[in-house]
Amino acid sequence: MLEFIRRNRVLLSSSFFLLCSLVLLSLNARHPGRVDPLGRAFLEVMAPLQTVTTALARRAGDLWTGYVSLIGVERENGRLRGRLHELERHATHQRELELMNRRLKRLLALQRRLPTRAVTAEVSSRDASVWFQSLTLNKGEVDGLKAGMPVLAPAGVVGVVSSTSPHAARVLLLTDPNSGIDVLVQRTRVRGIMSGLLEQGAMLKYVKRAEDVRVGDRVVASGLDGIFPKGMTVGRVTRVSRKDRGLFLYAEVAPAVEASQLEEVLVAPPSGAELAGSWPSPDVVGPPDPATLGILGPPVPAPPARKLRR
Amino acid sequence: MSLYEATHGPAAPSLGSELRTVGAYALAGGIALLLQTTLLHSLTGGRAIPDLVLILCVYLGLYEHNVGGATGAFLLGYLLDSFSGSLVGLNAFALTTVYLVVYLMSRRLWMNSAFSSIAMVFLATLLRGIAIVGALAAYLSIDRISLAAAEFLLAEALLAAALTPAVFAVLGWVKRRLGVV
Repeated sequence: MLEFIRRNRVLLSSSFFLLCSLVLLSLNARHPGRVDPLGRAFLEVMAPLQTVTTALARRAGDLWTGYVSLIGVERENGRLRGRLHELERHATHQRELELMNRRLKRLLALQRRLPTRAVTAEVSSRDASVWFQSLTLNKGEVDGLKAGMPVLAPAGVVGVVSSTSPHAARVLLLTDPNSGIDVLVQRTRVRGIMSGLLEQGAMLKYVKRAEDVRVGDRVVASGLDGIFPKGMTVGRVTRVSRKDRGLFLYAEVAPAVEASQLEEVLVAPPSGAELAGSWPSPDVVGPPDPATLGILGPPVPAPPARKLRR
Repeated sequence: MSLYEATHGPAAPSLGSELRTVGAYALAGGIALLLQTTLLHSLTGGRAIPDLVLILCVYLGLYEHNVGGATGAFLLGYLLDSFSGSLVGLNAFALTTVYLVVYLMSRRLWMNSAFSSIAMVFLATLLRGIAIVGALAAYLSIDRISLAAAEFLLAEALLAAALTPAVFAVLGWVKRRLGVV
């Protein structure tokens, strides 16, 4: 008997506990209240532990939620950063449009005052060599451009069209050593030829030593070459030198137009006619653009009319 | 195996060893219940909670072929009953049934691989569900079981099966540390 119990102790004990379970079930199903002899003790032991564990779990949950929130914040941060970059790009683009609008307004104002009809062109490239000063425009023969046409900007003379193709044109800048423009010193009406220097800038040629030329004098187109409109700003005298010997003085001129900053220009048919109105005209053009007028400053009032020396 | 064990069967465990074993299982049961009623609830949002107590019960059925094993299974079920709103005795009945079935199967089948343990826990979860539903039907006259309950049971079984290797490894490690293997 004992051997049987020993051999089948697991089965017997399991059956006993199954029976106990069924008894418990029967008692609890029959009575409305819980018949739970050990439950109170279990509850008493486990309750404080459960409280602590729940608090820890809640804390861990809060940490996790915080971590997830941080991930969300990081994502939102990245999204906002992207949006900021997009807006910055947009603002830059808008600023570009605003600047272009100002430049084109100035060009339009210039075009209205030109005696002949002009073509607006964009600068598409610059000279590949440092020895020469030229530009390439995005308009050519198809648009009516021809060699010898003056190229102008609101700030003043840019140069002359040197060669053309159907859809492009090369412009020889007035700072190129090969260029030569008939000019006047605006204050004294002294005439000379302005030509580019190999190093930088331009110089006045063929001005007699005795002529009244001073640093700061404005140099304008004389219109006598039949190319540039008379009175168009060319530059400002930056240096005057009278050597002991020689017939002519040496005067350096800073061009009115900073060619490296040019983006749009006007190409007009050659005309020696005088420019309509004063130059530049503040009421039409608006405030001077420092990018193009910075080297010239405010316009100097024209001196009383005087006969040109020949 | 020693000569004594070969001729007289396994040596009877000492009282200290038995007490350590009982203590280890009691502690494991307490921790399992604690986790099951607190942390795992928080982690899973109370949807499908892995039944650690059941895994422990299967472990008892696989490795504790004695009165202590059956008692442990019953007490684990009773412990569950104390912390659940069900009828007292329901989980005790279900877990004792699970223990008995696992014990009987382990006597006839090779159950020492990880895969068999996982399969056993999976089946035990289903068995426990059937036992509970059967008991409820007998005592509370439940008309039918919804499909949602079956899905819930399946999810719980899969979850428990997935946790089995880890729980078994921890239990084996504890037993080795206590020197009761």
